[in-house]
Amino acid sequence: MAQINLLKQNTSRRPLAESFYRLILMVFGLAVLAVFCYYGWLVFYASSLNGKMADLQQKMNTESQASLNNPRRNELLARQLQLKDLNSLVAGHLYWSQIFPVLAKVTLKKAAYDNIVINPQTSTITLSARVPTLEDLDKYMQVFNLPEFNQYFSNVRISGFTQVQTSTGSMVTFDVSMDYNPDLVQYQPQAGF
Amino acid sequence: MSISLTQNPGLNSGNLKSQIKSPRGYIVESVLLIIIGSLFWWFMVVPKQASVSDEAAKFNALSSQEEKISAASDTLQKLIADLDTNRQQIVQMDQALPLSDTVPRLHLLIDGIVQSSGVTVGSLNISGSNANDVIAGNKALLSNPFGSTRSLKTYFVAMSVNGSFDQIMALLQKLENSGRIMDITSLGLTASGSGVLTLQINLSVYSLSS
Repeated sequence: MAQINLLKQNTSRRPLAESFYRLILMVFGLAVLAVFCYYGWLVFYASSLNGKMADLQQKMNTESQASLNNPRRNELLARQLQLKDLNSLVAGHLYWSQIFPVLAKVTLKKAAYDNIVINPQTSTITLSARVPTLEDLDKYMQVFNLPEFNQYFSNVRISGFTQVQTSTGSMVTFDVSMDYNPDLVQYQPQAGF
Repeated sequence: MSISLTQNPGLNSGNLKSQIKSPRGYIVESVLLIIIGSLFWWFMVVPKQASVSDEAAKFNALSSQEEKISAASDTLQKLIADLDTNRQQIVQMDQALPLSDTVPRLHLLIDGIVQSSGVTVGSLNISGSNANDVIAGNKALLSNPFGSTRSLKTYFVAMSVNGSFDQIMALLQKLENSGRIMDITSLGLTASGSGVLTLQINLSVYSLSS
């Protein structure tokens, strides 16, 4: 027996709008699912980070304790302090003996010194000197006007010169103070003045 | 011939309506999903993200700190190894700036230098140590020589010597070039009638004592 279906055939087709809405719904559904997955990953990552941090903390504690308890650590610290202080002392170490040959070069041959006092704080040298005559005293001072001689000694100041009689004749005694170049007393491996 | 107008039970108008979702239903569901997703994002994901970000920053800081500690630990090992390989330099360093010293020992050292330069000693005075300083028999220090706190200690030496210019120069050079660091803090040279010079000299000598 033949059957006749009187319903319209297009009733089974979904309208275009319905498909569109369905697609939109699926997209939103997937988006929400992605958000849940992302949250899950965050939870997992946080847990993993916490584990790694605990391990790191443990490792740091172990290493720190090992270093602190190293039996030779104190010796090393003492040696480091010793080296630091030594470097500082060596940097400020002065060589006074280097002054005398240079002073001899700038001194008139007829002049002689009786007393020398060096003051490193002010970089000055004070001398009690004597020369045979006043002309020699003038020459003694003129030497320091020459550039090759005032390189290391400058600002020469004479005070209290007196002419005295001795058994061999007369002489002029005076006190002189001058500034010396601080480089003069620094370490010079090959001092050749 | 008979024609049967069968009614398919699944195709009656009531069932059809219930099975075919209306567009409005889709919109409502979509809106619900958006609301649920947004709320979840705002109240769960964003705070968690911030917390994870903080933890990641902490982890990075911790990691960097651990690297530093590890590097410091390696450096410590290397420096300790250097102590063993540079024994000769350490001996020289101990000579230049000893870790312990006493006035009698320093007196002996200066006496030796003075005698080797040929001058004669007029006076020699060493100060800088206190009467309360323990200079021997310190059990704590003996059991742990490097365990105590150390600081630079200065001994002050005031000395007067007599000799020729060459002897005085030799003394000055020996003091300046001594293996033990000795700083001349002031110096005065006086000539006497017989050609003998008198050197007044003040020195600072150091030790890194506890």
